[in-house]
Amino acid sequence: MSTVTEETPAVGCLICEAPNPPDAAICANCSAPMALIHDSVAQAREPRIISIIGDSNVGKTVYLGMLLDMLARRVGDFEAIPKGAYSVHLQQNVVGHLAARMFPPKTPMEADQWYWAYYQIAYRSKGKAWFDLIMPDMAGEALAAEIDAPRSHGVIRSLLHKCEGAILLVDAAVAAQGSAGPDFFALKLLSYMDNVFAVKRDERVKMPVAVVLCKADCCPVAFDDPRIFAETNLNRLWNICDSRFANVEFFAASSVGSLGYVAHNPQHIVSVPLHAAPRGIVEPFEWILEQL
Amino acid sequence: MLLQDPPQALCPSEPNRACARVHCEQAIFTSLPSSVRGGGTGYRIVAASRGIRADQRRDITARSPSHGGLCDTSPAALAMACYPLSGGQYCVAYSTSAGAEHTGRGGQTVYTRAIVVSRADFRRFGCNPLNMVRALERAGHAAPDLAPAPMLEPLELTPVSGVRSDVVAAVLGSGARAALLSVVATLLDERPLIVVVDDAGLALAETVYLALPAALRMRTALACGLRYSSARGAHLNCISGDVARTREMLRGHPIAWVDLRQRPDSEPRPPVQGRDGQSALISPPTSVGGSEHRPPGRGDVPDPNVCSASPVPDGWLKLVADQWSRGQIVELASLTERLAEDASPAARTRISRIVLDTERFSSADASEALKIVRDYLDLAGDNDTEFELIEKLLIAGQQRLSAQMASAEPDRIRAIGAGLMEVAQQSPEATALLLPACRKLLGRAAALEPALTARWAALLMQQARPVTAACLEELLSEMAERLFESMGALSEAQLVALREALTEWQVLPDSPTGAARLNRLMGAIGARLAGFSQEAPA
Repeated sequence: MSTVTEETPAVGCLICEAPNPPDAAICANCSAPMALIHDSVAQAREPRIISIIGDSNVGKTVYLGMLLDMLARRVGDFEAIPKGAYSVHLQQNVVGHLAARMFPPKTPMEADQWYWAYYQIAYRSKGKAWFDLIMPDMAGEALAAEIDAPRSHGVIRSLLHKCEGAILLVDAAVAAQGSAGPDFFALKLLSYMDNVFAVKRDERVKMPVAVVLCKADCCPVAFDDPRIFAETNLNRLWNICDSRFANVEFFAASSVGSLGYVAHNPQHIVSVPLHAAPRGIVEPFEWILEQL
Repeated sequence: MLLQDPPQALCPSEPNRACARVHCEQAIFTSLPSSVRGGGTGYRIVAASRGIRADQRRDITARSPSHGGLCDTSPAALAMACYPLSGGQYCVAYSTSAGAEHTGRGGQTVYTRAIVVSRADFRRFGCNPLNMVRALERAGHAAPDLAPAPMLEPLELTPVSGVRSDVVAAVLGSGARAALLSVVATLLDERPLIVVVDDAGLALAETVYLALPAALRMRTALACGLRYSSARGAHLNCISGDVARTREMLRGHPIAWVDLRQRPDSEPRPPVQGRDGQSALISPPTSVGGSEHRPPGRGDVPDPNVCSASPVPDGWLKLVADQWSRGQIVELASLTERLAEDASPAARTRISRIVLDTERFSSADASEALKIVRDYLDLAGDNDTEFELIEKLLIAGQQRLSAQMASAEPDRIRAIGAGLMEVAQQSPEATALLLPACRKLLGRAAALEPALTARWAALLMQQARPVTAACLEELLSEMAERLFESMGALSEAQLVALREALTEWQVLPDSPTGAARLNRLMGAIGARLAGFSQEAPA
């Protein structure tokens, strides 16, 4: 007599493709939410991943939250539909904190604590096809750790390997003060991505990369001509983009209209967003979509 | 209180072991303002000693808590993680809050000091990560240093190797012993689990950890007081907050869940998965732990939040339950600390059987004690620890048998003695081991069964001469004396039987005293028998 055991098929993670139980909430391997794969299967469309990358404290969470909120509010002729409540958490978190004149909490390094957004997006008037876009809010520290020790944070490598467009945030305010930190981090990050995509030396990476000079409200000159600002203040970044990336554009952006400062003590001064005044948030995203 | 030093060292036989300081490499993982430390922002290793290698930095970075990583969000929060590093060393990371987050984005800065030691040095702390934290506290390095030099000096810590039995006793006294056994069972299987507690869970972790063989401890990762993250790779995750989100995260994954809070919330309990991802809602193994008291509000029914690893009570679990119920916390810690090489299920079964059989002597009667001794006489053990434990068992058995022989009822002497003699004849080593008990037997039997006593003595002589000449000499001499003292009351037939038995002695005392005593005994028997023949009617 034989026994037939009926096994429920495993579901592959959308990001790292590791098999998971069908009722799993997050991937056991990379901690990405399994809802992504379930939602993408339901849409019967291949989802496209756009990554928001940058150093810690550069403003990735605020930028992404603002972007999603603006898309949801049909800014720039976009129509955006979040797939599931988990896609709304980030923008709600950012908008809620800014309304309370606070920056949102730091994103933890642990990937299972990240916000992920899955949106269906289309131009309302142009009648273009719908895009399924997945945008995670990665921690800058995790990016830095993966760059320093490749494959230590598998989810980042998987994400970047699968992403079809990247928005690289660089702290323009710090760069304008003469600090080389933002330039070096961006250089390392693009060098890492060059390695991930591993094209031949005589070929350049074709994935579109939008370099966003954020916090440009602190250095308005970045708005005047982002390319000149980057070439002048972020020369290393400029050069690697020129050498290794075929599809790069530079933008300037800011999220807050004005900042106040609170001094808890002379060593502990923190900035407070007095009001939100998004500028240049949607343009990089729009450019990326046009390149896809 | 928890971080106070233990009162005594575990190995008093090695008093110098604890004196020499232990060289520890260290790293600090936190987020510092760029004004304090340039070259990067956010959570990272901001300072480290020279001996922290690149692969160790990677491991520490991957497992350390970042913003919001502590369950306790108050300024007084503390947490601990410990894990083996890929290079074979062991890392203990102690986390605290270090003031408000410097970017003003809310919450506390999490500050983690990671200490890296070799496996050999980890043993000098009793293979107990809490002892490393205690040593750190004693050396004054537990508090955050918010302006560390980029290159730290290695730490020289004075090892703490004892056991805070009061801490362990308090955990065991909380009424969750059965659930703790389930935790131990899961860790023995090297499977991950979540334990929901009311505090950081450091005391619970120490209690459970001390019940694991040291070899297993060295490859078991703990995370106490840290929000659950699969990136930490911890086997034992003690959490005290973020429970609902953690349950949701674990949905569908085979990770056991134990809720030990005094007042569990009313949230729906998660599906508990067992081995191979199948349902394993098995009640806690109360059968091995004796009577149990559940925390208030838990009810008397088996708790479905408790997942037992093994449906069949494991021998090691019986041992742990036995030691816990006897309050033998230091003894258990001492035993587990010694098991630093082999922690396989087979080794654990052998060890637990030896120890539990040793404990059986405390209530065993003579026949049961003899049976236990017989089972172990030919066993040498697979390693030094097993060898020593078997020796300890045999000595305990010998002592128990001696006591039994001294107090046995007269009508049972013959039966007990026959059994003892049978075992003692198994080998010269058995004879040597059981000689004290045999002496007690012969001493008691001499007055009751002289001939039999003499025969038993003959058997002993035959068996034991090669290895126990000195002891035997003493025994023979003593027997001759005892028989001489008791022969006055013997009948003629008894005397004849005694003389016949004495002629079977193939080994005779060598010492002048022994020979003289034997000669005197033989002479006295002859004289008494002659007297009997003269008194007999013609």
